[in-house]
Amino acid sequence: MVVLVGVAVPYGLLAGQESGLAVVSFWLLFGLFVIGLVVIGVFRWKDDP
Amino acid sequence: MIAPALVWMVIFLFAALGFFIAIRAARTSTGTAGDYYVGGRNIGGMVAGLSYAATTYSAFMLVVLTGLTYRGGIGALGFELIYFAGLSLLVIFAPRFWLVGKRWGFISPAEMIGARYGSRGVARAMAGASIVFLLPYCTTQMAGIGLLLSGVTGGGISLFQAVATGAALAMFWALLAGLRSVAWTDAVLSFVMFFSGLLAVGFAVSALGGPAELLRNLRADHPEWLGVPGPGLWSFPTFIALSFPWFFFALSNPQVSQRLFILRDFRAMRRMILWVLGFGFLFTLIAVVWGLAALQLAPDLENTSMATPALLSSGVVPVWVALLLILGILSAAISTLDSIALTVGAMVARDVVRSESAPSDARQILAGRLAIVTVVLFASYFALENAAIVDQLAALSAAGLLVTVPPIVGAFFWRRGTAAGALAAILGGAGVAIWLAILLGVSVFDPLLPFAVAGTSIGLFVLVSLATTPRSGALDFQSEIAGELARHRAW
Repeated sequence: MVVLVGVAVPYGLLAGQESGLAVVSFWLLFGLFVIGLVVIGVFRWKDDP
Repeated sequence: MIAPALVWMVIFLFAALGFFIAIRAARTSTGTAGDYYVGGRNIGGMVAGLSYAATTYSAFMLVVLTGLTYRGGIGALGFELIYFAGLSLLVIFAPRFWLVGKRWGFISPAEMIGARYGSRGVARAMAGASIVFLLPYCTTQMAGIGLLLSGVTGGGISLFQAVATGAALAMFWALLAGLRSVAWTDAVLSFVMFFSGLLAVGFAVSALGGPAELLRNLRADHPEWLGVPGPGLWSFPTFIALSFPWFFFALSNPQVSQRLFILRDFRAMRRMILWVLGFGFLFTLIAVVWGLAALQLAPDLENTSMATPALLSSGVVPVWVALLLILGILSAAISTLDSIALTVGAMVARDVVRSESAPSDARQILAGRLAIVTVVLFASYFALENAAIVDQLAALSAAGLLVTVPPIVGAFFWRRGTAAGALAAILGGAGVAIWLAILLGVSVFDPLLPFAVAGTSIGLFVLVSLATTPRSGALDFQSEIAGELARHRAW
């Protein structure tokens, strides 16, 4: 879902916008969101051998 | 232009440091095949993470991605971040790879998939497909080295000399102690890549008057570059065609998925993923900003793959920073190349030449070493022949390697998957990839290529599996590791 949003928003909602920073900002937030999701995923692991 | 003698001097120092690290790593080797190919499954999170990052983020980043940014704008950032989002697959698959690798002693992903479906033919097919589609990727690394060194010295260092240097370094570091020397040198190379890139971007942005001025100039002079589809390159079909196969890179590329076998424990696995995430996100930004800076500082280039050499030799970046970045790109290329060569070596030793009676460790290592030499020489030859088609070759390998994804996903999530289904998926998908790209000339910028390859591979895997029965010797990964996954609270 997140990946689909990562494609659909720039090419849908934000497509064709020139000279703005909307697409750049969106993708930076997208990258940070991905990091957040992965961090949540790996921090629930239990390390016991 | 930078004096060739200066470039040779820093390469010599760089090589000396690499040799020292590789030799130190070799001292800890135990001489077994398991130690040579997966470091005895005892590598810590930081070294594994930096090695993973250095392997994943290749010369593609600071040669091709900057060129794509230069040519098409910010769509390159989105493309690379979709790939980056593919690292989330590690949350699901890293624990599974690691658990089955530890339990059955797998050394290559192809060996793992072959055992899961109870067929050495599947392992050999997967190894074969990986080798066929990874070789073009190796070639791009060599070509990247050639473009860079000959570009920044204005031809003072010839393409042949540059490629020979890259080949010698990659070969030595992979041959010496296998994964240990590769991982240790990778970890150091990743620092060189990151900090040289950061410094170079800092100087380039500073030369433009700072980040605010960079953006202001972009908005004034190249407004299309800040949006999509941008000035033309990043149309929606092209974006999808490039992003879709790269999203699965963490699974489809054995040189990175094999890294999941080397980890000491779950703690190391978590740390590895965090290092890769941090490195990947920041390095992506460095590569894209570098491309946007090149657009302003070295405008009107016809061959956008030359954006980095042009910017480095423009005088905007101090010579010592340019030399550092040359080492950074050299590091990126070599760390990817030696990892691929080592993985191909493991697949040849374990999946291609090994018979039912397992050969000695020494013979497995020898077979791998011969494969490493062959891969590097092969990549060097084609780099010398085809340096101009870097973009196409790099992306074709990603589309072709998609054929390994259905059998890998099925191995962990679909008990009904069979050896015949996996074989059909790999061979059928690979056949379609070669038919479309090579015989019909379908571009990697056309979404038909990856979707036809993936669709064929998935369709054949499902249909042929449903029409056949699992082999008696097939392993049931799902049941065997269910308890361990639950104990570690892994999804």
